[in-house]
Amino acid sequence: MSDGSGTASFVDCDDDARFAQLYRGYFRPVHDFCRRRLTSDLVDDAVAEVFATAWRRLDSVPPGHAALIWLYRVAYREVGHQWRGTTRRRRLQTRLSSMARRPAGAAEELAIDGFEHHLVLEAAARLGGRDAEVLRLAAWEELSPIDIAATLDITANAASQRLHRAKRNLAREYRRLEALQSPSATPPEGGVR
Amino acid sequence: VITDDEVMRVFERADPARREPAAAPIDAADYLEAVRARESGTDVIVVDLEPVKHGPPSPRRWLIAAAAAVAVVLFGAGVLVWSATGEDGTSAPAGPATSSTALTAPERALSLTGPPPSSPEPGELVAAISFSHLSEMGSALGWVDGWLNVYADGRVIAGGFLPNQRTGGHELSEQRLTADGVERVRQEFVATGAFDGGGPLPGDSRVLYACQCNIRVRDGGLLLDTATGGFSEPTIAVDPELVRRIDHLVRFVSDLGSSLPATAWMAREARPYVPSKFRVGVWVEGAVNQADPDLSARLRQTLPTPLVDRLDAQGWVHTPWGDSVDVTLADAREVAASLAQPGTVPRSSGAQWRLPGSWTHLSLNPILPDGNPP
Repeated sequence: MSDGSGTASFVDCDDDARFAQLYRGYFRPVHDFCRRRLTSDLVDDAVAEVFATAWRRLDSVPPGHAALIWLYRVAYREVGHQWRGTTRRRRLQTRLSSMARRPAGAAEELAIDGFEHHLVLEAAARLGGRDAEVLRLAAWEELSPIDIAATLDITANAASQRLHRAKRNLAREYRRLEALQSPSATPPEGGVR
Repeated sequence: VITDDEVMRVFERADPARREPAAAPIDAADYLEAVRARESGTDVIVVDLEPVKHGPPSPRRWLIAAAAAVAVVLFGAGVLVWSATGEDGTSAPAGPATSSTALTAPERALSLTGPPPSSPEPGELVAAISFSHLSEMGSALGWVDGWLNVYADGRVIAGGFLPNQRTGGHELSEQRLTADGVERVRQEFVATGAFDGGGPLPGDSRVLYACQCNIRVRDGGLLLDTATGGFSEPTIAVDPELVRRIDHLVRFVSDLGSSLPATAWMAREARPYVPSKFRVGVWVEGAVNQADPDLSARLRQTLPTPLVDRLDAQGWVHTPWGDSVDVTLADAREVAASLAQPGTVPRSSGAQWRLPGSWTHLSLNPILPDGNPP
Protein backbone atom coordinates (compact mmCIF):
# COMPACT_ATOMS: atom_id res chain seq x y z
CA MET A 1 0.00 0.00 0.00
CA SER A 2 1.38 3.38 -0.93
CA ASP A 3 1.06 6.36 1.31
CA GLY A 4 1.82 8.65 -1.56
CA SER A 5 5.30 9.39 -0.40
CA GLY A 6 6.95 7.39 -3.13
CA THR A 7 9.26 5.74 -0.63
CA ALA A 8 9.98 2.44 -2.32
CA SER A 9 11.46 0.67 0.68
CA PHE A 10 8.38 1.63 2.65
CA VAL A 11 5.75 0.26 0.31
CA ASP A 12 7.55 -3.04 -0.23
CA CYS A 13 6.99 -4.25 3.32
CA ASP A 14 3.62 -5.62 4.47
CA ASP A 15 4.18 -4.53 8.04
CA ASP A 16 5.12 -1.07 6.91
CA ALA A 17 1.99 -0.84 4.79
CA ARG A 18 -0.16 -2.06 7.65
CA PHE A 19 1.40 0.50 9.96
CA ALA A 20 0.92 3.25 7.36
CA GLN A 21 -2.75 2.32 7.11
CA LEU A 22 -3.16 2.50 10.87
CA TYR A 23 -1.24 5.69 11.10
CA ARG A 24 -3.02 7.51 8.31
CA GLY A 25 -6.41 6.37 9.49
CA TYR A 26 -6.03 6.97 13.18
CA PHE A 27 -3.30 9.50 13.86
CA ARG A 28 -5.78 12.33 14.20
CA PRO A 29 -8.21 10.56 16.59
CA VAL A 30 -5.32 9.26 18.71
CA HIS A 31 -3.75 12.71 18.77
CA ASP A 32 -7.07 14.25 19.79
CA PHE A 33 -7.55 11.56 22.44
CA CYS A 34 -4.22 12.49 24.03
CA ARG A 35 -4.76 16.21 23.54
CA ARG A 36 -7.98 16.00 25.51
CA ARG A 37 -6.32 14.38 28.48
CA LEU A 38 -2.78 15.68 28.61
CA THR A 39 -1.10 19.03 28.75
CA SER A 40 0.01 20.05 25.29
CA ASP A 41 3.70 19.45 25.98
CA LEU A 42 3.05 15.75 26.65
CA VAL A 43 0.82 15.01 23.68
CA ASP A 44 3.45 14.29 21.03
CA ASP A 45 5.35 11.91 23.30
CA ALA A 46 2.17 10.06 24.21
CA VAL A 47 1.07 9.72 20.59
CA ALA A 48 4.54 8.50 19.65
CA GLU A 49 4.36 5.88 22.41
CA VAL A 50 0.96 4.70 21.23
CA PHE A 51 2.13 4.22 17.66
CA ALA A 52 5.42 2.73 18.80
CA THR A 53 3.41 0.16 20.74
CA ALA A 54 1.22 -0.43 17.68
CA TRP A 55 4.34 -1.00 15.61
CA ARG A 56 5.77 -3.46 18.12
CA ARG A 57 2.47 -5.27 18.57
CA LEU A 58 1.26 -5.02 14.99
CA ASP A 59 0.12 -8.63 15.01
CA SER A 60 -2.17 -7.90 17.95
CA VAL A 61 -3.95 -4.95 16.34
CA PRO A 62 -7.39 -6.08 15.15
CA PRO A 63 -8.70 -5.05 11.73
CA GLY A 64 -11.29 -2.41 10.98
CA HIS A 65 -12.88 -0.12 13.53
CA ALA A 66 -11.66 -2.36 16.35
CA ALA A 67 -8.16 -1.09 15.60
CA LEU A 68 -9.13 2.38 16.78
CA ILE A 69 -10.53 0.99 20.02
CA TRP A 70 -7.29 -0.98 20.45
CA LEU A 71 -5.32 2.24 19.97
CA TYR A 72 -7.59 4.06 22.42
CA ARG A 73 -6.93 1.34 24.99
CA VAL A 74 -3.19 1.77 24.56
CA ALA A 75 -3.57 5.54 24.65
CA TYR A 76 -5.64 5.34 27.82
CA ARG A 77 -2.84 3.41 29.53
CA GLU A 78 -0.23 5.75 28.15
CA VAL A 79 -2.08 8.79 29.44
CA GLY A 80 -2.06 7.16 32.86
CA HIS A 81 1.66 6.54 32.63
CA GLN A 82 2.30 10.12 31.58
CA TRP A 83 0.45 11.48 34.57
CA ARG A 84 2.11 9.15 36.99
CA GLY A 85 5.55 10.19 35.85
CA THR A 86 6.33 13.04 38.19
CA THR A 87 9.87 13.65 37.06
CA ARG A 88 9.24 13.90 33.36
CA ARG A 89 10.73 16.76 31.50
CA ARG A 90 7.96 19.13 30.78
CA ARG A 91 7.75 22.36 28.95
CA LEU A 92 6.42 25.15 31.11
CA GLN A 93 6.31 27.73 28.37
CA THR A 94 4.07 25.56 26.21
CA ARG A 95 1.88 24.89 29.20
CA LEU A 96 1.44 28.53 30.02
CA SER A 97 0.98 29.66 26.44
CA SER A 98 -1.66 27.00 25.86
CA MET A 99 -3.50 28.21 28.93
CA ALA A 100 -3.55 31.73 27.53
CA ARG A 101 -4.97 30.59 24.19
CA ARG A 102 -8.60 31.50 23.68
CA PRO A 103 -11.09 29.65 21.49
CA ALA A 104 -11.86 31.16 18.13
CA GLY A 105 -15.22 32.76 17.43
CA ALA A 106 -17.16 35.97 17.67
CA ALA A 107 -16.31 38.00 20.74
CA GLU A 108 -19.67 37.65 22.43
CA GLU A 109 -19.95 33.93 21.75
CA LEU A 110 -16.40 33.48 22.91
CA ALA A 111 -17.14 35.03 26.28
CA ILE A 112 -20.26 32.94 26.88
CA ASP A 113 -18.74 29.71 25.61
CA GLY A 114 -15.58 30.35 27.59
CA PHE A 115 -17.56 30.74 30.79
CA GLU A 116 -19.72 27.69 30.15
CA HIS A 117 -16.71 25.64 29.17
CA HIS A 118 -14.90 26.74 32.28
CA LEU A 119 -17.82 25.62 34.42
CA VAL A 120 -18.42 22.32 32.69
CA LEU A 121 -14.74 21.35 32.70
CA GLU A 122 -14.52 22.28 36.35
CA ALA A 123 -17.61 20.16 37.00
CA ALA A 124 -16.10 17.21 35.12
CA ALA A 125 -12.87 17.60 37.07
CA ARG A 126 -14.83 17.09 40.28
CA LEU A 127 -16.18 13.72 39.20
CA GLY A 128 -14.42 10.47 39.93
CA GLY A 129 -11.72 9.52 37.41
CA ARG A 130 -13.72 6.70 35.77
CA ASP A 131 -16.91 8.80 35.58
CA ALA A 132 -15.06 11.64 33.89
CA GLU A 133 -13.43 9.19 31.52
CA VAL A 134 -16.68 7.66 30.28
CA LEU A 135 -17.99 11.18 29.70
CA ARG A 136 -14.93 12.07 27.62
CA LEU A 137 -15.16 8.87 25.63
CA ALA A 138 -18.87 9.42 24.96
CA ALA A 139 -18.81 13.16 24.28
CA TRP A 140 -15.42 13.71 22.70
CA GLU A 141 -14.45 10.38 21.13
CA GLU A 142 -18.15 9.76 20.36
CA LEU A 143 -17.88 6.10 21.37
CA SER A 144 -20.85 3.82 21.96
CA PRO A 145 -21.21 2.15 25.37
CA ILE A 146 -19.89 -1.06 23.79
CA ASP A 147 -16.74 0.70 22.59
CA ILE A 148 -16.38 2.54 25.89
CA ALA A 149 -16.55 -0.82 27.61
CA ALA A 150 -13.84 -2.22 25.32
CA THR A 151 -11.61 0.79 25.92
CA LEU A 152 -11.91 0.66 29.69
CA ASP A 153 -12.04 -3.13 29.91
CA ILE A 154 -15.41 -3.17 31.63
CA THR A 155 -18.74 -4.71 30.63
CA ALA A 156 -21.08 -2.88 28.28
CA ASN A 157 -23.71 -2.86 30.97
CA ALA A 158 -21.31 -1.27 33.42
CA ALA A 159 -20.34 1.31 30.80
CA SER A 160 -23.98 2.23 30.20
CA GLN A 161 -24.70 2.56 33.89
CA ARG A 162 -21.57 4.56 34.49
CA LEU A 163 -22.36 6.89 31.61
CA HIS A 164 -25.88 7.49 32.86
CA ARG A 165 -24.60 8.22 36.35
CA ALA A 166 -21.78 10.42 35.08
CA LYS A 167 -24.15 12.56 33.00
CA ARG A 168 -26.39 13.06 36.00
CA ASN A 169 -23.47 13.91 38.28
CA LEU A 170 -21.92 16.25 35.73
CA ALA A 171 -25.16 18.21 35.48
CA ARG A 172 -25.49 18.31 39.26
CA GLU A 173 -21.94 19.64 39.67
CA TYR A 174 -22.46 22.12 36.85
CA ARG A 175 -25.61 23.53 38.41
CA ARG A 176 -23.94 23.70 41.79
CA LEU A 177 -20.97 25.64 40.40
CA GLU A 178 -23.30 27.88 38.42
CA ALA A 179 -25.25 28.69 41.58
CA LEU A 180 -22.02 29.68 43.29
CA GLN A 181 -21.53 32.45 40.75
CA SER A 182 -22.79 35.51 42.54
CA PRO A 183 -24.76 37.95 40.35
CA SER A 184 -22.64 40.74 41.77
CA ALA A 185 -19.38 38.92 41.13
CA THR A 186 -16.95 40.20 38.57
CA PRO A 187 -17.82 38.61 35.22
CA PRO A 188 -15.30 36.44 33.47
CA GLU A 189 -12.88 38.19 31.21
CA GLY A 190 -14.39 39.29 27.94
CA GLY A 191 -18.06 39.83 28.75
CA VAL A 192 -21.00 39.06 30.89
CA ARG A 193 -23.20 36.06 31.01
CA VAL B 1 -32.54 25.45 35.05
CA ILE B 2 -30.18 23.80 32.62
CA THR B 3 -31.06 20.16 32.00
CA ASP B 4 -28.76 17.14 32.13
CA ASP B 5 -28.78 16.85 28.34
CA GLU B 6 -27.97 20.54 27.91
CA VAL B 7 -25.01 20.23 30.24
CA MET B 8 -23.81 17.25 28.22
CA ARG B 9 -23.99 19.33 25.04
CA VAL B 10 -21.96 22.07 26.71
CA PHE B 11 -19.44 19.40 27.67
CA GLU B 12 -19.29 18.20 24.07
CA ARG B 13 -18.56 21.73 22.88
CA ALA B 14 -15.88 22.15 25.56
CA ASP B 15 -13.75 19.50 23.82
CA PRO B 16 -10.18 20.86 24.06
CA ALA B 17 -9.29 19.25 20.74
CA ARG B 18 -11.98 21.32 19.01
CA ARG B 19 -10.27 24.50 20.09
CA GLU B 20 -6.90 23.35 18.83
CA PRO B 21 -5.77 23.78 15.27
CA ALA B 22 -5.74 20.47 13.43
CA ALA B 23 -2.69 18.39 14.27
CA ALA B 24 -0.15 18.76 11.52
CA PRO B 25 -0.15 15.56 9.50
CA ILE B 26 3.19 13.84 9.29
CA ASP B 27 4.20 11.59 6.48
CA ALA B 28 3.60 7.96 7.51
CA ALA B 29 6.99 6.81 6.23
CA ASP B 30 8.76 9.53 8.18
CA TYR B 31 6.77 8.63 11.25
CA LEU B 32 7.64 4.96 10.96
CA GLU B 33 11.26 5.91 10.53
CA ALA B 34 11.03 7.91 13.74
CA VAL B 35 9.27 5.06 15.57
CA ARG B 36 11.98 2.64 14.50
CA ALA B 37 14.64 5.06 15.59
CA ARG B 38 12.85 5.42 18.89
CA GLU B 39 12.82 1.65 19.24
CA SER B 40 16.56 1.63 18.79
CA GLY B 41 16.85 3.91 21.79
CA THR B 42 17.43 7.26 20.13
CA ASP B 43 14.46 9.14 21.52
CA VAL B 44 15.93 12.37 20.30
CA ILE B 45 14.82 11.74 16.74
CA VAL B 46 11.17 11.73 17.67
CA VAL B 47 11.32 15.43 18.48
CA ASP B 48 12.43 15.95 14.92
CA LEU B 49 8.99 15.09 13.54
CA GLU B 50 7.92 17.71 11.08
CA PRO B 51 4.78 18.49 9.08
CA VAL B 52 4.21 16.41 5.98
CA LYS B 53 7.12 16.19 3.59
CA HIS B 54 6.72 14.06 0.53
CA GLY B 55 9.55 12.06 -0.91
CA PRO B 56 12.12 9.90 0.81
CA PRO B 57 13.61 11.15 4.08
CA SER B 58 16.32 13.58 3.28
CA PRO B 59 19.84 13.34 4.67
CA ARG B 60 19.19 16.68 6.30
CA ARG B 61 16.78 14.94 8.70
CA TRP B 62 19.64 12.90 10.05
CA LEU B 63 21.81 15.98 10.30
CA ILE B 64 19.08 17.64 12.31
CA ALA B 65 18.75 14.53 14.45
CA ALA B 66 22.48 14.43 14.98
CA ALA B 67 22.48 18.12 15.86
CA ALA B 68 19.63 17.50 18.30
CA ALA B 69 21.57 14.64 19.86
CA VAL B 70 24.63 16.85 20.23
CA ALA B 71 22.44 19.57 21.73
CA VAL B 72 21.07 17.11 24.27
CA VAL B 73 24.58 15.99 25.17
CA LEU B 74 25.73 19.59 25.50
CA PHE B 75 22.66 20.36 27.55
CA GLY B 76 23.44 17.44 29.84
CA ALA B 77 27.01 18.61 30.14
CA GLY B 78 25.72 22.12 30.82
CA VAL B 79 23.53 20.82 33.58
CA LEU B 80 26.45 19.03 35.15
CA VAL B 81 28.70 22.08 34.86
CA TRP B 82 25.96 24.33 36.17
CA SER B 83 25.22 22.00 39.04
CA ALA B 84 28.85 22.01 40.08
CA THR B 85 29.12 25.77 39.95
CA GLY B 86 27.70 28.15 42.48
CA GLU B 87 25.89 31.38 41.59
CA ASP B 88 29.07 33.31 42.14
CA GLY B 89 30.87 31.14 39.64
CA THR B 90 32.89 29.21 42.18
CA SER B 91 33.02 25.47 42.06
CA ALA B 92 30.97 23.51 44.52
CA PRO B 93 32.85 21.31 46.96
CA ALA B 94 33.96 18.11 45.35
CA GLY B 95 31.95 15.03 46.20
CA PRO B 96 33.29 11.74 47.46
CA ALA B 97 36.06 10.25 45.42
CA THR B 98 33.82 7.49 44.06
CA SER B 99 34.26 7.09 40.31
CA SER B 100 30.99 7.29 38.40
CA THR B 101 32.50 5.39 35.48
CA ALA B 102 32.66 2.25 37.60
CA LEU B 103 28.92 2.19 38.16
CA THR B 104 26.45 0.39 35.94
CA ALA B 105 23.19 2.11 35.00
CA PRO B 106 21.15 0.25 37.64
CA GLU B 107 23.78 1.06 40.24
CA ARG B 108 23.59 4.75 39.38
CA ALA B 109 19.81 4.78 39.36
CA LEU B 110 19.24 2.63 42.40
CA SER B 111 22.31 2.89 44.61
CA LEU B 112 22.43 -0.88 44.66
CA THR B 113 26.01 -0.63 45.78
CA GLY B 114 27.71 1.74 48.16
CA PRO B 115 27.61 2.36 51.88
CA PRO B 116 25.24 0.48 54.19
CA PRO B 117 21.53 1.26 53.86
CA SER B 118 20.28 4.51 55.31
CA SER B 119 18.90 4.26 58.81
CA PRO B 120 16.50 4.29 60.45
CA GLU B 121 14.43 2.53 57.80
CA PRO B 122 11.15 4.40 58.39
CA GLY B 123 10.91 8.18 58.59
CA GLU B 124 8.15 10.78 58.86
CA LEU B 125 7.91 12.97 55.80
CA VAL B 126 7.92 16.69 56.62
CA ALA B 127 8.26 18.29 53.20
CA ALA B 128 8.65 17.08 49.64
CA ILE B 129 8.87 18.60 46.21
CA SER B 130 9.26 17.19 42.72
CA PHE B 131 9.74 19.62 39.91
CA SER B 132 10.61 20.12 36.30
CA HIS B 133 11.86 23.66 36.17
CA LEU B 134 13.01 26.01 33.48
CA SER B 135 16.36 27.37 34.63
CA GLU B 136 19.03 29.62 33.25
CA MET B 137 22.40 27.97 32.84
CA GLY B 138 24.82 30.69 31.85
CA SER B 139 23.43 32.04 28.61
CA ALA B 140 21.36 28.93 27.98
CA LEU B 141 17.93 27.97 29.18
CA GLY B 142 17.27 24.38 30.13
CA TRP B 143 14.90 22.08 31.96
CA VAL B 144 15.96 20.68 35.27
CA ASP B 145 14.12 17.76 36.86
CA GLY B 146 14.52 16.93 40.49
CA TRP B 147 12.87 15.88 43.69
CA LEU B 148 13.72 16.28 47.35
CA ASN B 149 12.22 14.84 50.53
CA VAL B 150 12.88 16.09 54.05
CA TYR B 151 12.21 13.83 57.03
CA ALA B 152 11.59 14.63 60.67
CA ASP B 153 14.80 12.85 61.67
CA GLY B 154 16.78 15.36 59.58
CA ARG B 155 17.38 13.27 56.49
CA VAL B 156 17.27 15.09 53.17
CA ILE B 157 16.96 12.58 50.35
CA ALA B 158 17.08 13.89 46.82
CA GLY B 159 17.20 12.72 43.23
CA GLY B 160 17.68 14.41 39.92
CA PHE B 161 20.68 16.10 38.42
CA LEU B 162 22.28 17.60 41.51
CA PRO B 163 23.02 14.47 43.55
CA ASN B 164 24.37 12.70 40.50
CA GLN B 165 27.26 15.11 40.43
CA ARG B 166 27.94 15.12 44.13
CA THR B 167 27.66 11.46 45.00
CA GLY B 168 30.07 9.94 42.57
CA GLY B 169 27.45 9.13 40.00
CA HIS B 170 24.72 7.83 42.28
CA GLU B 171 21.37 9.37 41.44
CA LEU B 172 20.07 9.38 44.99
CA SER B 173 21.71 11.44 47.74
CA GLU B 174 21.36 11.83 51.48
CA GLN B 175 22.24 14.74 53.75
CA ARG B 176 21.26 15.47 57.36
CA LEU B 177 19.72 18.60 58.83
CA THR B 178 19.39 19.62 62.43
CA ALA B 179 15.90 19.92 63.90
CA ASP B 180 16.14 23.67 63.33
CA GLY B 181 17.16 23.06 59.72
CA VAL B 182 14.14 20.82 59.17
CA GLU B 183 11.86 23.53 60.52
CA ARG B 184 13.47 26.17 58.30
CA VAL B 185 12.80 24.05 55.23
CA ARG B 186 9.25 23.34 56.32
CA GLN B 187 8.60 27.07 56.74
CA GLU B 188 9.85 27.72 53.21
CA PHE B 189 7.30 25.25 51.87
CA VAL B 190 4.47 26.74 53.91
CA ALA B 191 5.44 30.25 52.80
CA THR B 192 4.63 29.46 49.16
CA GLY B 193 0.96 29.92 50.02
CA ALA B 194 0.16 26.85 47.96
CA PHE B 195 -1.91 25.51 50.81
CA ASP B 196 -3.75 28.66 51.77
CA GLY B 197 -7.25 27.50 51.04
CA GLY B 198 -7.32 28.66 47.43
CA GLY B 199 -8.53 25.29 46.25
CA PRO B 200 -9.66 21.92 47.42
CA LEU B 201 -7.09 19.59 48.92
CA PRO B 202 -5.89 17.21 47.74
CA GLY B 203 -5.96 18.27 44.14
CA ASP B 204 -4.98 21.91 43.95
CA SER B 205 -4.01 22.04 40.31
CA ARG B 206 -2.69 25.59 40.57
CA VAL B 207 0.69 24.35 41.68
CA LEU B 208 1.04 21.70 38.98
CA TYR B 209 0.28 24.21 36.29
CA ALA B 210 2.37 26.93 37.87
CA CYS B 211 5.62 25.04 37.83
CA GLN B 212 5.02 21.39 36.90
CA CYS B 213 5.59 20.75 40.60
CA ASN B 214 4.10 18.60 43.23
CA ILE B 215 4.56 19.93 46.74
CA ARG B 216 3.79 18.32 50.08
CA VAL B 217 4.30 19.72 53.54
CA ARG B 218 3.34 18.66 57.03
CA ASP B 219 1.40 21.37 58.78
CA GLY B 220 -0.88 21.16 61.77
CA GLY B 221 -0.43 17.42 61.98
CA LEU B 222 -1.52 16.85 58.36
CA LEU B 223 0.54 16.12 55.29
CA LEU B 224 -0.88 18.57 52.74
CA ASP B 225 -0.48 17.62 49.11
CA THR B 226 -0.91 19.56 45.88
CA ALA B 227 -1.08 16.44 43.74
CA THR B 228 -3.86 16.51 41.19
CA GLY B 229 -6.20 13.59 41.18
CA GLY B 230 -7.35 13.23 37.59
CA PHE B 231 -6.60 13.91 33.98
CA SER B 232 -8.63 17.09 33.68
CA GLU B 233 -7.45 20.24 32.03
CA PRO B 234 -6.65 23.20 34.26
CA THR B 235 -9.58 25.44 34.92
CA ILE B 236 -7.97 27.54 37.60
CA ALA B 237 -6.00 30.62 36.63
CA VAL B 238 -2.45 30.59 37.92
CA ASP B 239 -1.64 33.41 40.28
CA PRO B 240 1.63 35.10 39.16
CA GLU B 241 2.55 35.70 42.78
CA LEU B 242 2.17 31.98 43.50
CA VAL B 243 4.42 31.23 40.54
CA ARG B 244 7.03 33.63 41.89
CA ARG B 245 6.95 32.07 45.35
CA ILE B 246 7.21 28.57 43.97
CA ASP B 247 10.08 29.61 41.71
CA HIS B 248 11.79 30.83 44.85
CA LEU B 249 11.16 27.49 46.58
CA VAL B 250 12.60 25.55 43.64
CA ARG B 251 15.74 27.69 43.71
CA PHE B 252 15.91 27.23 47.48
CA VAL B 253 15.79 23.44 47.35
CA SER B 254 17.93 23.16 44.21
CA ASP B 255 20.97 24.13 46.21
CA LEU B 256 19.91 23.50 49.76
CA GLY B 257 23.53 23.37 50.89
CA SER B 258 23.93 27.07 50.08
CA SER B 259 20.38 28.08 50.96
CA LEU B 260 20.79 27.10 54.61
CA PRO B 261 23.49 28.22 57.05
CA ALA B 262 26.09 25.76 58.25
CA THR B 263 24.36 25.61 61.64
CA ALA B 264 21.29 24.05 60.01
CA TRP B 265 23.30 20.99 58.99
CA MET B 266 24.42 17.88 60.77
CA ALA B 267 25.92 16.47 57.57
CA ARG B 268 25.98 18.92 54.69
CA GLU B 269 28.03 16.82 52.31
CA ALA B 270 25.90 14.54 50.20
CA ARG B 271 26.49 10.79 50.31
CA PRO B 272 24.76 8.16 48.20
CA TYR B 273 21.38 7.24 49.58
CA VAL B 274 21.10 3.48 49.81
CA PRO B 275 17.51 2.32 50.36
CA SER B 276 16.66 -0.61 52.61
CA LYS B 277 13.81 -1.70 50.36
CA PHE B 278 12.88 -1.61 46.70
CA ARG B 279 9.65 -2.06 44.82
CA VAL B 280 9.64 -4.55 41.98
CA GLY B 281 7.07 -3.67 39.32
CA VAL B 282 6.06 -6.02 36.49
CA TRP B 283 3.68 -5.17 33.64
CA VAL B 284 2.84 -6.32 30.14
CA GLU B 285 3.27 -3.65 27.52
CA GLY B 286 0.26 -2.96 25.33
CA ALA B 287 -2.06 -5.32 27.18
CA VAL B 288 -5.52 -4.25 28.25
CA ASN B 289 -4.85 -5.62 31.68
CA GLN B 290 -1.17 -5.08 32.28
CA ALA B 291 -0.92 -7.54 35.13
CA ASP B 292 0.83 -10.66 33.85
CA PRO B 293 -1.43 -13.71 34.39
CA ASP B 294 1.63 -15.98 34.27
CA LEU B 295 3.70 -13.79 36.54
CA SER B 296 5.59 -16.39 38.56
CA ALA B 297 6.20 -18.66 35.59
CA ARG B 298 7.41 -15.72 33.53
CA LEU B 299 9.84 -14.59 36.21
CA ARG B 300 11.18 -18.11 36.73
CA GLN B 301 12.39 -18.08 33.13
CA THR B 302 14.75 -15.25 33.99
CA LEU B 303 15.27 -15.09 37.75
CA PRO B 304 16.52 -17.87 40.06
CA THR B 305 13.68 -19.95 41.46
CA PRO B 306 14.54 -19.28 45.15
CA LEU B 307 14.45 -15.54 44.39
CA VAL B 308 11.03 -15.79 42.69
CA ASP B 309 9.81 -17.83 45.65
CA ARG B 310 10.86 -15.04 47.99
CA LEU B 311 9.11 -12.43 45.81
CA ASP B 312 5.94 -14.54 45.75
CA ALA B 313 6.11 -14.99 49.51
CA GLN B 314 6.03 -11.21 49.97
CA GLY B 315 2.61 -11.11 48.29
CA TRP B 316 2.23 -9.36 44.95
CA VAL B 317 -0.12 -6.40 44.72
CA HIS B 318 -2.17 -6.73 41.52
CA THR B 319 -3.58 -3.72 39.65
CA PRO B 320 -4.75 -3.19 36.07
CA TRP B 321 -1.43 -1.43 35.50
CA GLY B 322 0.71 -4.31 36.64
CA ASP B 323 1.97 -6.18 39.69
CA SER B 324 4.31 -5.00 42.40
CA VAL B 325 6.04 -6.32 45.48
CA ASP B 326 8.47 -4.76 47.96
CA VAL B 327 11.82 -6.51 48.46
CA THR B 328 14.97 -6.14 50.50
CA LEU B 329 18.14 -4.49 49.23
CA ALA B 330 19.76 -7.93 48.97
CA ASP B 331 16.92 -9.27 46.81
CA ALA B 332 16.92 -6.12 44.68
CA ARG B 333 20.62 -6.61 44.06
CA GLU B 334 19.98 -10.21 43.06
CA VAL B 335 17.15 -9.16 40.72
CA ALA B 336 19.39 -6.60 39.01
CA ALA B 337 22.28 -9.04 38.76
CA SER B 338 20.02 -11.73 37.30
CA LEU B 339 18.75 -9.35 34.65
CA ALA B 340 22.25 -8.58 33.40
CA GLN B 341 22.06 -11.38 30.85
CA PRO B 342 21.73 -11.74 27.07
CA GLY B 343 18.21 -11.31 25.75
CA THR B 344 17.17 -8.91 28.48
CA VAL B 345 16.61 -5.41 27.18
CA PRO B 346 17.59 -2.69 29.62
CA ARG B 347 15.53 0.47 29.35
CA SER B 348 16.99 3.95 29.30
CA SER B 349 16.30 4.73 32.94
CA GLY B 350 18.69 2.03 34.09
CA ALA B 351 16.06 0.61 36.41
CA GLN B 352 13.80 -1.07 33.86
CA TRP B 353 14.22 -4.16 31.78
CA ARG B 354 12.19 -6.04 29.19
CA LEU B 355 12.34 -9.74 29.92
CA PRO B 356 13.75 -12.03 27.23
CA GLY B 357 11.30 -13.07 24.52
CA SER B 358 8.30 -11.33 26.01
CA TRP B 359 6.52 -7.99 26.31
CA THR B 360 6.81 -8.13 30.07
CA HIS B 361 8.74 -5.31 31.69
CA LEU B 362 10.30 -5.26 35.14
CA SER B 363 11.28 -2.17 37.08
CA LEU B 364 13.04 -1.58 40.39
CA ASN B 365 12.27 1.53 42.39
CA PRO B 366 13.79 2.52 45.71
CA ILE B 367 11.43 2.77 48.66
CA LEU B 368 12.04 5.95 50.63
CA PRO B 369 11.71 6.19 54.43
CA ASP B 370 8.06 7.25 54.14
CA GLY B 371 7.30 3.91 52.47
CA ASN B 372 6.82 5.20 48.93
CA PRO B 373 9.00 5.34 45.82
CA PRO B 374 10.15 8.80 44.67
